[in-house]
Amino acid sequence: MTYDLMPALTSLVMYLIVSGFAVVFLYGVYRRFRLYFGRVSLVSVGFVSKRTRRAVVNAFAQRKVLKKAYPGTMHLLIYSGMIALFIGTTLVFLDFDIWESFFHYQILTGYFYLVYETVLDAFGLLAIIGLILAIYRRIFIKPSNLPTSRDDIFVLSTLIVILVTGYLLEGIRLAVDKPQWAPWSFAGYQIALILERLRFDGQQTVPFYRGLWWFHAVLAFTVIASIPYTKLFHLITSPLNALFAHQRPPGQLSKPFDLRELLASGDFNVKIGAATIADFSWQEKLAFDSCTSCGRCSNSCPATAAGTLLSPMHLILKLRNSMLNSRGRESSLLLGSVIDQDELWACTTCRACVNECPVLIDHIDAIVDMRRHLVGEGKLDRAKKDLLTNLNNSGNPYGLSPNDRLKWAEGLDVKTAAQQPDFEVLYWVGCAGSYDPRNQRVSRAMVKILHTAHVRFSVFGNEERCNCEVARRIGEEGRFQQSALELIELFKKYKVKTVVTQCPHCFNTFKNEYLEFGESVKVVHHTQFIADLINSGRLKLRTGPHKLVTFHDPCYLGRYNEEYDAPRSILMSLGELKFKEMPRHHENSFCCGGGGANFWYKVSQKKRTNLIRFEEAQNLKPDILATACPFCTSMFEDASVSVGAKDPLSVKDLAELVADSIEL
Amino acid sequence: MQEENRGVWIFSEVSQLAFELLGKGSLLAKALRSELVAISIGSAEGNEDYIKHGADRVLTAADPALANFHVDTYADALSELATEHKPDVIMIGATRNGLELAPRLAERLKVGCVTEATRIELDADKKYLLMDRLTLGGNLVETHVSKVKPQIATVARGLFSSLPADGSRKGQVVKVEPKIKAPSTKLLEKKPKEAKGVRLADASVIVSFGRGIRKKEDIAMVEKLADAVGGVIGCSRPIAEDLGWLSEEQYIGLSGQKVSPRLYFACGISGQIQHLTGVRNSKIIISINNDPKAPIFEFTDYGIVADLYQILPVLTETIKQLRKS
Amino acid sequence: MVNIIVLVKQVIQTAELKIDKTTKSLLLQGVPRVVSESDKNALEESIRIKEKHGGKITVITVGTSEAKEALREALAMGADEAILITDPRFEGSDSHAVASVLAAAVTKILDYDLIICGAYSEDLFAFQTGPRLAEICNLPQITYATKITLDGTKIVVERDLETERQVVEGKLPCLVTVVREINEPRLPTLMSIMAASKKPTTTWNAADLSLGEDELGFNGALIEVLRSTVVSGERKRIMLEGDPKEISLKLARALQQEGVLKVA
Repeated sequence: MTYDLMPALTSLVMYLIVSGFAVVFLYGVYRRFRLYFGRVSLVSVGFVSKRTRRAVVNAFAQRKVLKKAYPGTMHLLIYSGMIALFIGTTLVFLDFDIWESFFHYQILTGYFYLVYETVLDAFGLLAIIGLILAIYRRIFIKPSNLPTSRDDIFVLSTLIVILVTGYLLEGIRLAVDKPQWAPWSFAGYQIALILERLRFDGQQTVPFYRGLWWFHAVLAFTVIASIPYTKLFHLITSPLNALFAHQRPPGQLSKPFDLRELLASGDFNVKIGAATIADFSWQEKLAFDSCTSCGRCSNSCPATAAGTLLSPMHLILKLRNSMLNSRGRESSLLLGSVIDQDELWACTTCRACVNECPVLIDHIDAIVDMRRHLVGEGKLDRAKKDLLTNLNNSGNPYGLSPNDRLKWAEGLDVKTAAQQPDFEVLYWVGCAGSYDPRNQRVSRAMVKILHTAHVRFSVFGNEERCNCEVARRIGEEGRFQQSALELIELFKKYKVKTVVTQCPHCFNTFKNEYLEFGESVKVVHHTQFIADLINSGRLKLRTGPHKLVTFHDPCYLGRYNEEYDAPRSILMSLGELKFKEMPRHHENSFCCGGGGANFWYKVSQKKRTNLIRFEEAQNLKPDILATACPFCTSMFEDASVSVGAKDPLSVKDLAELVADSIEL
Repeated sequence: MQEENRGVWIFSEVSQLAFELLGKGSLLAKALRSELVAISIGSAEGNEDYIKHGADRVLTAADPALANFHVDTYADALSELATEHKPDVIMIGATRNGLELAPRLAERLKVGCVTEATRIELDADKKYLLMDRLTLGGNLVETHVSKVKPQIATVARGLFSSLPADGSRKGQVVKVEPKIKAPSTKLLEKKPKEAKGVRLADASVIVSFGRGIRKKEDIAMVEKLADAVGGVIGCSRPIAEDLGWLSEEQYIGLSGQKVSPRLYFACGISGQIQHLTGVRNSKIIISINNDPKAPIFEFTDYGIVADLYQILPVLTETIKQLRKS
Repeated sequence: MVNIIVLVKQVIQTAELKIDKTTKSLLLQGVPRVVSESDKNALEESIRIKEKHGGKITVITVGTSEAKEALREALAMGADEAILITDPRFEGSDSHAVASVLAAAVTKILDYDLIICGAYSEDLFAFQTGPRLAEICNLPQITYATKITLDGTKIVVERDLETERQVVEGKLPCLVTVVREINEPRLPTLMSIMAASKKPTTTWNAADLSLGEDELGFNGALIEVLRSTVVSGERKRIMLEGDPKEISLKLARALQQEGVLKVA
């Protein structure tokens, strides 16, 4: 009709031309939307390659979802099944309603069609199996942090009904039409055979069929329309979040301002932190909306296990619900009404949640943002205030004299950078290594190791000051940045090339966070350094004692910076030492509870995190619990005292084990 | 320095403290060859006790307006008396009342004042007082000299010793009636504080214990030592939080109480940094632990490597015996 | 509307003061300077009063130019205006001389209803500044405040003494000294401290306050410091040996000598 007086293929040409105008239209929309979002540059290389790859790997290939076998498989079945059926239905729509009408051309013919039928039948079955597994899991397995709501029941039940009715419809169709190729739709075919036996295969089925057809169609439309109103919204938000989530390296918190710019402009009136839902960026809001309530974050969270108020999943859901309730209106303060302060303070920033999350939500970003607001308000308890005051006044979190940083080295041959500026390696002792008697032993062990391996090293001595990583984690961003700028100057002053440190927090900050100020320090954790020394033969070890040892992966070394091998390589080099992995090891390591500044203030817990982890170690009945972080060491020594066992297992830093085994 | 100022005066609204001041005052008065005078404000009773404890004379102002301490009325009384009688020295008990009275009085008389003197001696020529006090958190001892008279110092309990009461001593009790103006503030109510015991943060002697104490019943051993040294008990975090043997307000550490006693006993405490940050302002730390490698020994003034159960009873008994004598 | 003057003192942080082993003098280099703790309480209290009643908070300090940092911190907490009173001739001042300088400043400011200060400063623990200032300015003094309530020109203060708590009523203008228990001072972030440098800060010297030579520093002081002796701050780490009885006796004797325990 429309094309009656026009030559053939007019519609094809027209659609080609339309697509050109469509591009103009879409580009215009994109340009305008950019005004809201500022510097989102969609066409930068990073965006295209890294982000797309990440979205494809996570959203499409379901990499993180599959990390847990049962739910991963179950979701994969549903997901792939639904996608296949969706493609299948789309092909039918395109075929019948478009190509057939316009071009009198169909692709769903012949051999292609037969394969199409079989594949779709198979995927539909897989989807049903997946849904059954899902329903079974909710009803019988009841894993923790998986509450079942009306939303879940609606989605699971309607999907399964749609699929089952789909097969029924197919079965009836096949039973009535009896096409030759019926067996290719093997599932529908089986149903058709049953219907034939029941003699429900003739014209009498038509009214029933038509009714069921509409039921199936309307139910399917309902599910589609319900997507933005149910958990199915994750179909849209989760892949988008996988695309738009930040690309900062793990361990690099967001930078709400740059102190250098503020110093230059003289205007320090910055508002940072999230007080209301409106204070979060669009991407963060998208992230909150991507949560599928899978519960993996809370199930791996040490704060949740310790019985604190913090449950990462519930935190994100509360933020999401707050957003839904605000409906773009002036939103109320989160803290006090939606979120309890103690939820935020209980977080150790161990990153188990972010690591687990299949849709790439960054819970830590949200928590730190809200902490920043609390700090800006001055709403801190005595312990946190003392911590920040100590950092400010004394340059270390203990509040001990800045002139005492080298006391641990009394009697040892340790030179400062001022005394020996031509060092090969800058040994960053850190605050714990300088002041905590327990960790001073590790510093002394390090010196023994460095000297034995003939490493020309210096320390900063009294010029060393805390890098205030802990201030950043608490939310005092200004203090952290000030310290960062000062230390970067110090590194430059002595032309530091390589830094070795025994603290994973210092390691992480120097490695990942100083990049935000354009400074890339070559920093090595002491386990990496020692492993290198051993492997290169610069350090020879006697066979160690005949003992059973297990190792606790520190969060900031392992999960954050993916260094799992160096510590193990050291343990393997210690001869007679027999090694056994902790039940939760590598990226699943369970936090000691000291991070996120928790070491410095009291967190109300039902069972303390360090006790939980310590008991996990004890159950292996090892002789030694090996550590690689001053906080972990201190937390486990504390746990050891609390447990008060008759023969407590000994907690040893890897440097101590190595120093004890050095072959002179 | 004016020659006409004579007489060593003492005042404290707390009689025990006043007697201690009289103890020192009598030494000073003898060396200066002058009179020791006790100022008694507010009550007509007890004046004889001042004489018994060494005063040569008691100036007693028993105006009902002076019945209760008020900085305005007491400053009025003392300044009038001092202006009239021109004493050489005035020692005032360093209670909170005394600490707000002395400087006000000193300013009115336009003289100096040495707060919480730790040592008061006469110079070699016996002309003026050398008054020591601690500053800068106890890191510095300053020796002060007053340029004008009367020389005023406040003195805390326990620095000086009182003389034993001597009923045979003779002295004068003189009634005085200084002019008192109406006080500028009104007392609406006062409540005595519960004798619940000293807060750890305020305590000057603390005996603290950790996991070295094996059973809850054994805490009695620690309490006995605390009694003997006149202190209160405290503990490390596991005792309060994990074992619940003591309350949360009684544990000392990073997440607990911070203390600054002059004497701190750490019994069976290993000395982790979390605990040490709570005690580092202690003047003297004594540590007892059976592990010679315990980190506490790095942070201690006097260390004893011994079995708690053996040393504590002996130490308690020894101190008790010495203090009795 | 209550206009408040808050007295603030910048002190060196005494907690970790060290002694130079060779010169046996205090290592003051690199020791941080901080606002005296109870002055922070005084500031916090004044800000709470302002939040409730309105008014202006002027914070004043007598010190060196380094004290400007303390003033910035006070402004960051919420004070409106800061005045640094500095003059090299203040060197050698005692409590009386400092109080005289403060009195001159307070008189120059003129428009105030309430003066709040800490009961003592964390470096000297002298307890004198408040009462002396009150005496010179002929103001009532209410000390050791743990709670302040205002009602028109009436002020009601809860006070903390050793064995009792009092509730005292007075009239403005007056001077109140506060103790640590009165409140938890807010902690300004570094950014707010840096932003506070925009708030008005004035500097006055002796001439601005019309102080005569004989009132300043060594001349004006009524107390002279004859000498200062450094007390060692290091832990002694003396290990006592012997049988329990021997150890106990050694310890008792040592404690007696230290002056921390009277046993004989």
